[in-house]
Amino acid sequence: MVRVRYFGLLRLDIKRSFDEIEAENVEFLIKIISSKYNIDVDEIKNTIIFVNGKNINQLNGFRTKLYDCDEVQIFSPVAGG
Amino acid sequence: MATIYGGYTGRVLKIDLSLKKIEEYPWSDKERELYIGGKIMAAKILYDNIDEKTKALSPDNYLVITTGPLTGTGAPSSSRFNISTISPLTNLLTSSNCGGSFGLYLKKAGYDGIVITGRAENPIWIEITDEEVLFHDAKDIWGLKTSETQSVLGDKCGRLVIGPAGENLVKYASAFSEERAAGRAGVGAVMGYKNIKAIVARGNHTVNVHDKENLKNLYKDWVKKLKEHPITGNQLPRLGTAGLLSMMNARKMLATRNFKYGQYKDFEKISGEYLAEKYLIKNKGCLTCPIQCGRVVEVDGKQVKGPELETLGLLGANIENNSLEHIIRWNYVLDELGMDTVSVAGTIAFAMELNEKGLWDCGLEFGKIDNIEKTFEDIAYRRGIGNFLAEGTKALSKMFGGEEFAINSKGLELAAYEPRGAVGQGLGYAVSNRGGCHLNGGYLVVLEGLALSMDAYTKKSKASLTILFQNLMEVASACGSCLFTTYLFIPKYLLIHPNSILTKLFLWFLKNSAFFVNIINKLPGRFLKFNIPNLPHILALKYVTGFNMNFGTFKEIGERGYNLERMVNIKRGINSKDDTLPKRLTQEYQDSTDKRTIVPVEDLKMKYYKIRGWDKNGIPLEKKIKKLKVFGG
Repeated sequence: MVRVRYFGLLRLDIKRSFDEIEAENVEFLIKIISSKYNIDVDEIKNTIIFVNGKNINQLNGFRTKLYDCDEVQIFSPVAGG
Repeated sequence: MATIYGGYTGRVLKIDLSLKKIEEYPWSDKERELYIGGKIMAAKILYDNIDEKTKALSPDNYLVITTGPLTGTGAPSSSRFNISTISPLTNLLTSSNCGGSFGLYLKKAGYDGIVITGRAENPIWIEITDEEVLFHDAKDIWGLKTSETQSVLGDKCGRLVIGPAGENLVKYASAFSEERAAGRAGVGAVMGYKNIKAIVARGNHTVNVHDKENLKNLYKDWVKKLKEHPITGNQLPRLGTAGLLSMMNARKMLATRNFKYGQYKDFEKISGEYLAEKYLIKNKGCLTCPIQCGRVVEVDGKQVKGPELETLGLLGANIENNSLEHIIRWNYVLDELGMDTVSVAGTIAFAMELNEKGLWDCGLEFGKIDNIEKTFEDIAYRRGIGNFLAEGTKALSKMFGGEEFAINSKGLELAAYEPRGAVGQGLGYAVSNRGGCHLNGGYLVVLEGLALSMDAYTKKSKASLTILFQNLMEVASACGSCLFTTYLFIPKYLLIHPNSILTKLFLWFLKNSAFFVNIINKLPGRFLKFNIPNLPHILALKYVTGFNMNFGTFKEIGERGYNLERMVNIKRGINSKDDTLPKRLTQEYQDSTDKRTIVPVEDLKMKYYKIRGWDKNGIPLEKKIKKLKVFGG
């Protein structure tokens, strides 16, 4: 199971902070989240995604493989301090 | 002095408290063209009136309160005003910007600014109307907290007040207008020293504008752009600035345990999301602002302002406190006492580490929160250890040691961004005119991991981008606009599509953009005669004032302002050695296995000086000063 933590606007929209989901890669994980919360796949693809603390753009993008106990964090871009 | 330009009342009030003398401060149209208003106008007035010996807490110091030309014209998010003075915390120039309604009412009273010098014999409050200026005895309100003071002064007026911290000369006391603070570097202490408990402004003056029809359409479009932008139209209204905290933690930029670490294990418990889910009653904002980034929460059955990101980070992760409920309460208590949440939190974190290392037995400990609220009171009334803490981090380090982990720059405590996770922000903290300020530093962290995912550790292009951002934010602030309006400068596409090829290409370009950015930085304004629709301030200035305005002129005003503020500080004796950070951030790796995780401040700052046209000592070259007409001409 992959541990998924939601942050930012997505978390407010789906009213959920945490899930445990079985998924072999980020692409597949996004599809599951999309169907679970009835959100467009592209909307989730347009978030900032970290796998075990690393941005997927520094890994293998949406094809980044996921393993048991991995932690995925999903964010929206932010500014204004 | 009357003006031919729109946006101004044409009058600046000068008050000499020692002589009880009221007159008009001479401010010409030539100066309006060169310095616009706000912090840049204030910097010129300070430069002309203070010298290297002027003490912050002395009758000779000047307290300069200014508005911008857009204030009072209906411009979105532009009701702000500025307070500049010599800071008792840094002994250098500080400019502290504030929302609330005081700026609008000051213009209604018929003034673009107030210049205050001298010192009243006894506590007073000053009433400024379009007909007269009155000094009232403040003995009945001296000692009151900030909201009580404002209640006594009544409504339908602009109120600027201090609390007990300002009265007792806490070096980082703030001034308040409604719930908004001119927070940083002790402007409240300067008011307190001058025996000014409050300033009230009211009147019926209206501000003329140059091109009403075009301005109306521009403002309509500006509001639309703010509402449609992902940051100003969605994130800030829904999550406030608090919404940054989780992302900062993920990016290792969240100051934790007196900046020892960049991540906090309990970050979720103090996050903006948790605040929105558990405590948020509604969002709120300044007058004329469509963003409404403020949070409304409840304390003791009262609806009050919720904590901003800096307060959450610094009274949370940085002292290892995971109780959001306490932070909400402390934020209210500190506002009522009238002091800067950033500096007080930074100073307390430093004291905790001093205690931990056996350097000062002060009773403050990381993770121990039962004595914090009492400590705030002790600081505001200068009791016990509070009397030491009221002096700030740098002063404490001189008393007890620990300079290498005294987290400040030029005496001002750093904001909540841990710069070893965003080295461009580190450069900004080090060179900022008002010391360890994220905004005056250029706020590069917005590119380095908040809104965009630029390489946070590279030195490439960071000096160039810092300069561009500093200059543009300087002039946007001088207009009277909230800095959040400058987020329109970040193209929506990049925010909506963070993982697209185009965005990745743009981020690569950004990393390698120094050459192009320096063309903008270095070219005189007359070669940049174009307009940028995502910086509506440019056309707004043109339509409001009647100035001949384009991107080049706009950028040049910002650059002039930044150099002018620097020259005030040069006059006060700073040089390159002051543009630095404590050793923890420049020599101690945040992650011992990753050699990128320090701020390479010396390298970055030399590049920065060169591009700015400053010498190796950080002093602007004479030809640069002349070219920019920093002192007029």
